[in-house]
Amino acid sequence: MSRFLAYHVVVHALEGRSGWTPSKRFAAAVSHAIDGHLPYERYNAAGRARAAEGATEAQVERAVREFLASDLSPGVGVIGGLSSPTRIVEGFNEYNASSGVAVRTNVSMPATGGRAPLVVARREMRVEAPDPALCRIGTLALFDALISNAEGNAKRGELPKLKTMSGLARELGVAGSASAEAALVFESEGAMRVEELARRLGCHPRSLARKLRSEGLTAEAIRSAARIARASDRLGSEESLTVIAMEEGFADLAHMTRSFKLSSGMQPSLLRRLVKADASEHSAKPAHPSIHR
Amino acid sequence: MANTKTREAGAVLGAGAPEAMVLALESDVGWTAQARFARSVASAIRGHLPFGRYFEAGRRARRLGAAEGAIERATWDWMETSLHPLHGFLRGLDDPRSVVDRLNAFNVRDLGEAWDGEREKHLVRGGDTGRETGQETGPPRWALTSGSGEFRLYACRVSPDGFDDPEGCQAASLASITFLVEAARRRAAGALEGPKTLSGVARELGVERTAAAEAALVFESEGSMSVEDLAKRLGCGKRSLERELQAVGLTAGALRLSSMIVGATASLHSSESLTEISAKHGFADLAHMTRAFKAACGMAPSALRGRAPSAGGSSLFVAAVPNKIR
Repeated sequence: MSRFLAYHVVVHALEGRSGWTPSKRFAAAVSHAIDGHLPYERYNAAGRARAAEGATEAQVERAVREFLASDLSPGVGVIGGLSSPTRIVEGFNEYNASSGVAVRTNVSMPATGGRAPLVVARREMRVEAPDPALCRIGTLALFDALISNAEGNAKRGELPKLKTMSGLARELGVAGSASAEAALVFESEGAMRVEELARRLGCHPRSLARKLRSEGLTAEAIRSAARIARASDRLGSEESLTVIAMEEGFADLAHMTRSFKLSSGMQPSLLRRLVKADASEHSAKPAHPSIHR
Repeated sequence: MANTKTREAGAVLGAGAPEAMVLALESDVGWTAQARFARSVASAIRGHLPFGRYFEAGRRARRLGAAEGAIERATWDWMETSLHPLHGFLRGLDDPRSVVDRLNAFNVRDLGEAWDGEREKHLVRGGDTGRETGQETGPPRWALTSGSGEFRLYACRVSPDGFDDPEGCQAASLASITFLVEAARRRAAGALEGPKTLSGVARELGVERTAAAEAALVFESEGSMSVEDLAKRLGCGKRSLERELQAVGLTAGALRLSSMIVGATASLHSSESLTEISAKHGFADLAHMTRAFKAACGMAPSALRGRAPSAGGSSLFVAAVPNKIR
């Protein structure tokens, strides 16, 4: 297991592998909702390999956006749902500081007074390796995708719901698969035992397990992913984190915190702070429109 | 004669930090309009100052507690009168994205070459860590990119390991970048800004009635000529003209070469061949023009011109890949 990590969306985008079938993408998205990182070495190697192939900036950016569209990790999902650019910058930096990524990218957006929007980034290398230009582009493309959501999110008014597994399955056209149906059950009814799930889907636990395995997943993985997703959706509420952890089927708050950290390197309390700060800024805005003149 | 000397000195120095940034950081008092004009003329002939002076100025600005905003404003000020061929060339582009591409190419390839000779001087080895320096081989620089959607400039600072990168240097170089990008954005939005000329800069500085500015105007409108002819056109003796120019730190040769380079830079956007351009602006041949440009900004005219920007991607990675890492 590598000590240093990189975010899975950027790694996959940089690698640009062929052979992504819809069901593989779905399985990868669910797995990465539980553990959102890949070894740094893959990120670095992919960045160099793609550069050697002559891949362009635009290609990498497109790929990042495409993989981000099927990303289910709640951490980055929450950041992408914020409506204040300041909070998105803060969230992106918090993510970089608290997750185990090998290259910490710190961004800031100095006010430019009507000039071209400017993003200043600094890359802190925690490994001894050259920083391939395409890796930089990939990570900045991730930020670019998140920050360009801000305006749309602000217009919509309320915090968007995070992307769901069943929603993604529909988009990918695999809604009829066993894993998508299992995901729907977990999402709508919360955590339950695998036997119970099999009964709800009308098949034997063994044959369910076999089907899920053939799709590259397990019931446990789907349950964990659903648990994290449901908990993330409640971060904007007033309920205590302990209550959320208990109700969503985590053993305790520490378990939930661990799961979130593994998923996208950020603690639920941190995400909650971002969501609430964003919401209060957002509700404050219409009252004082002149502030932003 | 003066001509040759300037060229040689420039060739030895190659590239360094563009002058506008260094002067902004130094923020010396006592710049008269005439001295600024002389500096501007010289920046077309040799637009760089050594890295050592740049970083020293940055550290001094840090000691004095200079505000980044002040450094930024001073840089924009100096950029306004810079005749550095790279700046001059970029001012002719009207797509901010191609400005970003050209700046990247310049930063990676050309600054890198100048840095190689100097890097040992600037790296501060982290004593006990014993880490091998130089995961990045170039000087500290901004790697730029722009989002594929609405234009947004991403500037990522890349410093060699173990390098104390003064904040002031970062602010100054970022300001010079935003200056050029902003100019391209204005042009993309339809603002008509012609290329900078020596006489134009003289007008901006309010020194258009000086001997230097009038001599520059003659060179610009009538092309290269001998100092005797120039003196005749201006209606004074050769010696007194030379004396007047010398008083502000200029020579007729410098004015001539500067106007040749500035004129040729503006022509690089046309479809004329480089040989035609070199002949039109009074260079002896293409090689002469190439040498002059290399001394001025470390880049040959062909490198400034580059390939026509391709439709989908950018040329950034072609330049960025080798990076001299294994």
